[in-house]
Amino acid sequence: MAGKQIAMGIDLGTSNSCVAIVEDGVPKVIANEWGERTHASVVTFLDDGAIVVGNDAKKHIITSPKTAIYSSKRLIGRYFFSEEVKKALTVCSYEIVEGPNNSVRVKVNDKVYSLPEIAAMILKEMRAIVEAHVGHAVTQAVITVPANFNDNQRQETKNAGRIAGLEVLRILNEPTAAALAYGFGQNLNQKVAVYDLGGGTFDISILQIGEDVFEVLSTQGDTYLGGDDFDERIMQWMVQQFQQQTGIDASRDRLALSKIKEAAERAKIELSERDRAAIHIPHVVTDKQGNAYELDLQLTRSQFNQMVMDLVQRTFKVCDEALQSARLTAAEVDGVILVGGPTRLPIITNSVRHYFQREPNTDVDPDLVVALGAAIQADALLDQDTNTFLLDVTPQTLRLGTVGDYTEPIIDRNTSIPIDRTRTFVTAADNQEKVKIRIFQGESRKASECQLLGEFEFGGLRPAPRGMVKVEVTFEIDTDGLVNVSARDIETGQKASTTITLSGGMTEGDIAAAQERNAETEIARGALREE
Amino acid sequence: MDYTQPQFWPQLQQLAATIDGLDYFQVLNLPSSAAGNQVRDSYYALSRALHPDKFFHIADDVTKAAVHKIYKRVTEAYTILKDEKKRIKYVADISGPDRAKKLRFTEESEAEQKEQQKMATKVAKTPKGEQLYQAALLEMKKGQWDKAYKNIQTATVLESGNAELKALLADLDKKRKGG
Repeated sequence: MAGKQIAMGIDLGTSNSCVAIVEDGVPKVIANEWGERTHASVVTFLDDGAIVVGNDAKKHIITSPKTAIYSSKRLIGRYFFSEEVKKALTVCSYEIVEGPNNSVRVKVNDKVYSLPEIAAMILKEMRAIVEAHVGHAVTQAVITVPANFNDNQRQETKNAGRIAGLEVLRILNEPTAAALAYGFGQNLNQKVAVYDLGGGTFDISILQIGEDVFEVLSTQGDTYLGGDDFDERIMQWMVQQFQQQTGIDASRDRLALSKIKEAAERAKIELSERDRAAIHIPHVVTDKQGNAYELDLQLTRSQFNQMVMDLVQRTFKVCDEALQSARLTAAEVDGVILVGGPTRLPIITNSVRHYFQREPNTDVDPDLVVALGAAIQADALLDQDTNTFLLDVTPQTLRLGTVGDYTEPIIDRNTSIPIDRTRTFVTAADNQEKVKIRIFQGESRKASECQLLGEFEFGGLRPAPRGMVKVEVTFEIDTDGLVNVSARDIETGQKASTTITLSGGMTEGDIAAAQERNAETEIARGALREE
Repeated sequence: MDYTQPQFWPQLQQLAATIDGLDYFQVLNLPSSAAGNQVRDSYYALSRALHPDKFFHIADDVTKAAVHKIYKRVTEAYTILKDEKKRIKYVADISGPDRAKKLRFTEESEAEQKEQQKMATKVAKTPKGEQLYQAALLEMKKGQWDKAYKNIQTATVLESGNAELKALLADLDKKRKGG
């Protein structure tokens, strides 16, 4: 159809990203000029000032370990003091520094970037791929996130979209997108489980799929568990074997680690097809005397399975909880959809088959299905006659900080969204001018075990003795899964001014500046291919 | 009713304006005897009619806001009524004398309970002192700082050891001097 508006669906993954659009009513993944449909989520800053994104950028991890930014999704929306960031500080070859308000930044060639800025470069590349295909500008997108992402992580992902000059139509949960791609136009009436093991996160969502309504019954996830962890187990084993053979600790050498990481990932993929993988790195380290050492190992599938068995078991603990929330047993599920590259591993496929007592669906491509679902949703949002409805849930309990280190629940996890709840606060002192509240997400009563979303201050209260001003605070979770907080004076109905006084996120000013920088940034395309 | 047709939009506004006075069964358009599957069916039917995504392309913010308000209440009604335990408590709540206050499901929060306890503990220790304090509260509400100051001053004479009254007196002194 000529002139029809197009919006893209972007799967912004930890390891790989993918982009799709609906063309003539059919969702399609768009390949780049070289026919690649998935693109490494890597941004590399080359010495000559050029920036490359995708599979080309990934080739530089070994040669320019300090300027190739990979797995950055693991850091987005986190606080600098979080466990994930502490871990990244020890294993990442690029430099991670602390930004304002405990935020995380990466430092490349003396320039400091926020995580949404890095993600925006990947999004810019995805957009370029679509624009090259359709031949005109495309500015609207649905971007997917792990279902268990909290408000900070969703907000920062949305910011990334805005920095890339996109209108973000929706932040969509990855498993929900996958279920949509699976059930769209199929006239199904099923309960399905989406087992989504990505590069950095694991999600399980249980859905009731109908003809036109897709209802998420429950979702559960672990944002600290993914394919990267499987690679890491192989890396640890390689380092250990190498040390036994040569007495050299390769883990102290960042260049060696980059090579080991790449080989580990390759071995893992090889083990999806074969019973054993040969790992050979011709020149892994050079000792003080200038002697070069090679690494030569054999890894069998059963050795590998043993290394990662506990990780696999962890995913099923999460599945247990999701089924319990949905009030179903594994046997009551009618279909199982696998999402994410790591689900190609035989140990995963076999364990999933065993757990759900059924053959996982093989019609959908685990690497592409999320982008396809996002494209379907993007198209549905632009369509006036849309008749596909996603009824999603909030993944984590929204909490209010009370006294000391305690919190109390406001909106429970697995509650359907959009929804709002109100709470009334009474002034505790005479002529109190403002009310301050802290909100959290998480499953613990202890504030220190939950994620702090922000501290809100409602100002401009009318002067009165304590107890006389009642402020009604509304906590809303919108269709993006984002949290909005507002307050009003019950008696006068007047809205209180709201200030977020504590948050690791970007300000509007930060975003505008980043937008400008992103627009000026040229992403080099094809330069390497010609070599 | 087909909410998607423009001629129904005025009714949509009306529904948004009056939804605070409806209980969850009324929101979902169901009898209070409705079975669990009817609750879900109604939620689905209302989602087809009122899900914000259906109104995504509309530029009219007033309509959008009305749809959001109504649909959020639909979700809330579904969340409570599909949960057996919550439904039982809710039905009891709206059948009681406090019906008007309990149209939205309430779980009394710990913080509110504590707040109420705090409110219940009297500031003044003597009956006369409390009387003066209450009078002062009313005057403060009206901004009559001088009158409030005089009442609290008398109260502090009665209760010379009451630090809270003293602090309030100091505050009021600032207020009446335009602080």
